[in-house]
Amino acid sequence: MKWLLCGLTFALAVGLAIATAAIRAGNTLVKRQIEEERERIEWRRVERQRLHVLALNEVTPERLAQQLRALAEPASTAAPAEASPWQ
Amino acid sequence: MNRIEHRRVRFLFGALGCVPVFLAGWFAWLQVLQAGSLPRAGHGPVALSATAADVQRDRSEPLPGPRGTILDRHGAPLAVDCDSFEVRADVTPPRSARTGCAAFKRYCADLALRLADALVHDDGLADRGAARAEHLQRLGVRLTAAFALDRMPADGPLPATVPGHAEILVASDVAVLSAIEALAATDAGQSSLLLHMRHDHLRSYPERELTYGLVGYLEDAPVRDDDGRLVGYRSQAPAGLEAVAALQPGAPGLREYRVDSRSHRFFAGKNQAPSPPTRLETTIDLELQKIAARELEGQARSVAENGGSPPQWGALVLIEIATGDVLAAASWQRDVQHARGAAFTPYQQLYEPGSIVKPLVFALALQRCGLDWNDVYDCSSAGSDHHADVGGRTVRDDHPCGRLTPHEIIVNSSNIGAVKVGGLLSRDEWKHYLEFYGFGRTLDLPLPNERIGRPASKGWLPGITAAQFKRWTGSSYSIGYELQVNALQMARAYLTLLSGQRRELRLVRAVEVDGVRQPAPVAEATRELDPGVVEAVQSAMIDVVSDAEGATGRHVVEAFRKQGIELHGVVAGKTGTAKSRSTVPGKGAVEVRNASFVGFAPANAPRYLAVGVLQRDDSARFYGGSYAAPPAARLLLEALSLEQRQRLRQEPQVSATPGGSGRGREAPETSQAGR
Repeated sequence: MKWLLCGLTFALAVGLAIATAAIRAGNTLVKRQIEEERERIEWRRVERQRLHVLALNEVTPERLAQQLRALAEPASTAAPAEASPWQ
Repeated sequence: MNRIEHRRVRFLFGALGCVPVFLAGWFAWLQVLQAGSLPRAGHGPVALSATAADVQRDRSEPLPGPRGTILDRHGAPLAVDCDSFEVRADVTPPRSARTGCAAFKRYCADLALRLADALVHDDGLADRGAARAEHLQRLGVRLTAAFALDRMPADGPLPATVPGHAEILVASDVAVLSAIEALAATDAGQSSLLLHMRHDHLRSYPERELTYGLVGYLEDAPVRDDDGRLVGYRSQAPAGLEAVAALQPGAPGLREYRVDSRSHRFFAGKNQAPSPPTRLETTIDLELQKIAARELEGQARSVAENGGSPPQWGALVLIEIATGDVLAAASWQRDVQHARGAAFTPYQQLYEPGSIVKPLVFALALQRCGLDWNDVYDCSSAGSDHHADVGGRTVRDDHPCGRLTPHEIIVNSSNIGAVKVGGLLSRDEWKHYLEFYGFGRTLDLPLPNERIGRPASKGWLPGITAAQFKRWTGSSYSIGYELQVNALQMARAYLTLLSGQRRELRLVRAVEVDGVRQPAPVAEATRELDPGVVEAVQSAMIDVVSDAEGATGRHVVEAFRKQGIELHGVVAGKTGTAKSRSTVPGKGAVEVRNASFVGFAPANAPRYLAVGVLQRDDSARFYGGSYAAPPAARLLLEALSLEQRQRLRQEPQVSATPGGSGRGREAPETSQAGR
């Protein structure tokens, strides 16, 4: 009986060692996956910020208004009147 | 179980029992006997423990803090730091590449090609071929420097001096997702390559071309060590608000992670964010800045389109009178191709202001020197050049004037009358005039490299008598000569006049650091001009912009009337035309004409002040009323219109449905909701 218990204890120790190694390996794998996911999120965050500034540049209210104005009316080319030679 | 079996089992378990004994002995050997066998310079020896083994794999990456954000008065960003990556590569050429020089060079060329292909993985690139060639060339140079490819023979065995590993900079400011993913794919596909993407920042300037002058820009200045060797680059702001110290990046953050033996990264969960960016709230109104730039450029181009030579430079500034806020400062330069070089005229180009100083002189003469606003001055002239002798100096007018009151002198812009009024000021009063209006004094705005306009020194030499001063310098000051100013200085002078007290312009409204907003301090000053004095001068300036006979703003009034806009009573101002000499690159000293206009609106209760100036480097007719006044007047009208639109936006909106309320606000009791 005592030998059986010894054997079981040994098997348990080996099992624990294997389980610990497996869990740690699993953790490592997950940490790697999290890191890769984090990197992808980071890349998208940078891209989102870039696109935001790009949009600021391209779609300002003034530019939109200018485009609308150009559609609504032809450009006027009024020349300034020449003054008399006064100050 | 017989004896033999007992022995076998004992042997087996005895052997198994040896394992912990061996392990305990091993640990004792490491921890006791070998302790201190891995010394480190400046530190204690490395502890041979499991924690120490983990620490060996710990890595950290600094996260640089962003530079401060520059905002316009409505919160629109003018300069903002965007995150980006600096991509560096650890290159360890494989054994197959190290078989000979030709193979090594082929490997390097192939690597450069792959990296360049990845970098141009951007649909937004205008010319992908050119960008690829540029990357290829740069990567080639870096790989050549890293592995001494230029000293390597074309063929034959690889020299032993060629390093087995090198780190090169692949690219800076990489922020395009598709390019980043392509680089990551290249990294994954090449075991000899390990890419590091380090956090960096890329400065972005929405509406860049409009804001060079006020916002400024950054440039990389080389940093050298004591021996003169280049050790890196440091960003510095040679111009504009970028030079404000509060915009410097705050404390950097730190991201910790772990790596395995092949440098693969593992998440460690530790992250310390960098300090948030400072927010610099400026007084600039981006929309008005756009209008000012458009008006100034349009005016400068229309001069050329109408047969004249285009102005050499121009400036147009808009000020809010209540606060002294610089709302817009547009710039035009004919001979400078890039917007960066053409953007600084409002505070860097000096000119003789001419007649636009007359209201400034008259206000001081009325306040301090006994000028009677009802006195009549004989401004009659003789000859075709309308000249007259005033105090021993010949002064010319542009048209015959006759007898005029000070009000009419301003309206007609009579030089003869102005010199006579200026004669009331003593040398000390002229000194006070320069101090009070801020001529010769810095604008004290956060704008580096400002050129401070000053009075010419000849009038203030010790040997000049009071009579000589009055005859020459005093009469010159009366009509805006012997004095150089920049456009913002002139705006400050008129801000002072209209307020009756010394005023300063403001370009920064507040700075927000770590969430705490610090408004710019407001300077206190005592009133030096009586309201009646300001009112009298203001009234004359209202009549300048009218269609009265002799009014110098008559032509701008008529031009606007043709477009259905009545300027008189809405915009007031003073025109100025000065003839002086200036040094023009390639031409030497030439005669220039400065057409300028200072205006404010609404005329009776001014809220906005505009100063426009254009300089032409020829002797053709070029008058403030015709050329400088229209863009300034349009800018003032646009400012009023924009203010009205903003007020309408802020007012409660009335719902069309009974009982409904406006956008986010309740309809007031007096509203017409339900009608």
